[in-house]
Amino acid sequence: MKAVVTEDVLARARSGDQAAFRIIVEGYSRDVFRLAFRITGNEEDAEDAVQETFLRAYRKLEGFEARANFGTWLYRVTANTSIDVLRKRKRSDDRTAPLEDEGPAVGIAPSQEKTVYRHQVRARVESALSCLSELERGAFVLRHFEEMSLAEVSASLDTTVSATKQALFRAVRKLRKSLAPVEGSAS
Amino acid sequence: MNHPSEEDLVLHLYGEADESDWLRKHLEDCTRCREELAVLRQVLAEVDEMTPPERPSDYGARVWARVSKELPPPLRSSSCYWLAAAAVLLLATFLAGRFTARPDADELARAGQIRERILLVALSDHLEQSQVLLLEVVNREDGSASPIAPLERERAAELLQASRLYRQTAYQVGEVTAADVLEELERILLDMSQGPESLEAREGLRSRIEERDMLFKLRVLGSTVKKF
Repeated sequence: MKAVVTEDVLARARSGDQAAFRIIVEGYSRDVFRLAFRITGNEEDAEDAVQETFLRAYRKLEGFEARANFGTWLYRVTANTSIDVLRKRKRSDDRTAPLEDEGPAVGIAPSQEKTVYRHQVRARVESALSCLSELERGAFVLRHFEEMSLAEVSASLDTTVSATKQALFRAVRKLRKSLAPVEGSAS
Repeated sequence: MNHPSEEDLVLHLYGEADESDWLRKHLEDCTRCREELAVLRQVLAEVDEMTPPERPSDYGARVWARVSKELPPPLRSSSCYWLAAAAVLLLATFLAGRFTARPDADELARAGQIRERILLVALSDHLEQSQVLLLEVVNREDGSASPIAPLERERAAELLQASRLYRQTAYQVGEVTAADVLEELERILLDMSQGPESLEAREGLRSRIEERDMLFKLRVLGSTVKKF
């Protein structure tokens, strides 16, 4: 996450200054949502994770060391909160209903074909990601989308680098298996 | 010919591989592994299609509106008033009658400032000592769990007495939020000072301290005191 707050704001927030904490919330909300969405896989859970992340961050600010990178620390809180939300969520068929079942795109303009195709791919990817375990999904999202190093990912998920690697390998293997039918058709 | 594993290729794609020459050279020479790498790249490229939905321009403000409702109420900026009042109330009795000469207005003002400072330091110290005691209960590792020790009970009893004075003063001058924090602290200190020396008692206290965010509340109150 980009550094969007000053050390002074952080110091004030750590001492319980809510006006300073508001600056943090407003500055990081989009980044927190983006990560929460990629881990939870849907807007509703992501919004819950966003709110819970900031509440946890407020309570845990005391444990944040001023010399550390606040963005990395907040990533860690976000990832763990999102994984908790993911664990609690009862996966329903409605939420993971594949969008490709909406039917063939009959009679649509050529300019819309690519959009429809991307929509279908996205639905397939969401479905594939939903098959990953919490650790696999967390490791994959942090490494692939957020471009964190394996060491950073393992620190964020409170696990070892070795366990993170294995989770990443399993995630890629599962995704490859799920996405295999469309391999070679993208352009 | 030894081919790299899928794991090797994944690490290579993410720039996490131990980039030994053999892997690079192998990929240059081996069509099969290059194709394997291309498939992995394509799969991961498809994953990139899953972009998060856009948020409105005022998203940060909306999140704050939700979050702020759940935060504990902030202490009033006028907290210095009740602390100043506490200085007068607590020290007035102590100082009464000790001076036979009538001081002038400047001397009284200076004495008042000194009294306030003394009490602020004392209260700050009281809050820090309370945090230390509560932290000892919370942070005791399960493996080395032990009952509430007699020494801890004794310290809790001492802090309890001081806490009551501060809390009563806070109520008298209308600093309800601060008084509530001190009252919560009192209940925990009371149980700690009178509770049985048992592991269950320690675990019960630990749960209460954590559930009520007592350490956080004490820290916030302490920070406010230190500002004055």
